[in-house]
Amino acid sequence: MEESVLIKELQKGTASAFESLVKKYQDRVINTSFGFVQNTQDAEDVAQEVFIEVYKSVQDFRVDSKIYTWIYQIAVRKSLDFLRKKKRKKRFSSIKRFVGMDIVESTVESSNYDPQESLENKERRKVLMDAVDRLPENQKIAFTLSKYEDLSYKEIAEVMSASIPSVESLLFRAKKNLKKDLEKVYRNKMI
Amino acid sequence: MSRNQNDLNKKVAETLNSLDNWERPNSNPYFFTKLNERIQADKEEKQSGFFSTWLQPALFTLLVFFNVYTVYNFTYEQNTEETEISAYIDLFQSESETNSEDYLSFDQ
Repeated sequence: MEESVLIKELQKGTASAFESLVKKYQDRVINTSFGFVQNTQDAEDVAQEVFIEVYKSVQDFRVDSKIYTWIYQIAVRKSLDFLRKKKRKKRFSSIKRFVGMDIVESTVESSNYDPQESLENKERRKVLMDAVDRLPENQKIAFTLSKYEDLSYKEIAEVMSASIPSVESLLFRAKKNLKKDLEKVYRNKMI
Repeated sequence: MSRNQNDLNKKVAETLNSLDNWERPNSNPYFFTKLNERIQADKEEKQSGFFSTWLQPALFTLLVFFNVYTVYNFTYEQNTEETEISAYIDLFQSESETNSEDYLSFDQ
């Protein structure tokens, strides 16, 4: 189904149009969310939130815009919201622990990575993702869209509503900051 | 460049490249089914939302009004009863007073 037809059908409330939209974009949305939240289950939950918002606000969508840009924008926003909530929850539980109100909560996070991946690579990816998490928000978005979704500079610029040169600059700064951060991490480990 | 620095650079480069062989997570075949269930649940919640936002306050107001009405009626009836009783007492008193005077006058 052509995209403009798909949108018109969606706006009419056709169930099959929504199903084909979800099936077309679900992997990309889950993958993008995974890039931020680093957990398959959480990424799926975020993706569900994304499609619920798509379902609810498709009436406001302008047919002249690109649907993938719109969906990616929602996915990025929802993922960042999820991370903020998670951080807030973490802070709150550490306060509770400090005050002595802590209810024993499971701190074991579900497996984030492919089981077939080597342990060494898992470790490296964990270090890298922690460093990505410490990047400024815009650099984090540009880096994640580029590395996980393999989007072009033009596509990232559309999703971020920015110019191509600013995306180039964001990615350049992100890599530079990551390098600096990783050097610091490994140097501390060596001591 | 020292050996340590070389090791460090190698480690950093390997870490930065660790996403190169990245594979997408396997998609869940029940994703759409789960999503559909959530949308239906949302719709049902919206419908029950109508009950909690409009119908529930309306029923509560009606109940309060009914209670106030009952209490008012009960108090009014009691007051009327009390007025009637005191009227009887007054009547009885005035009648008894008249009778006694009559009796006295008869006696004289």
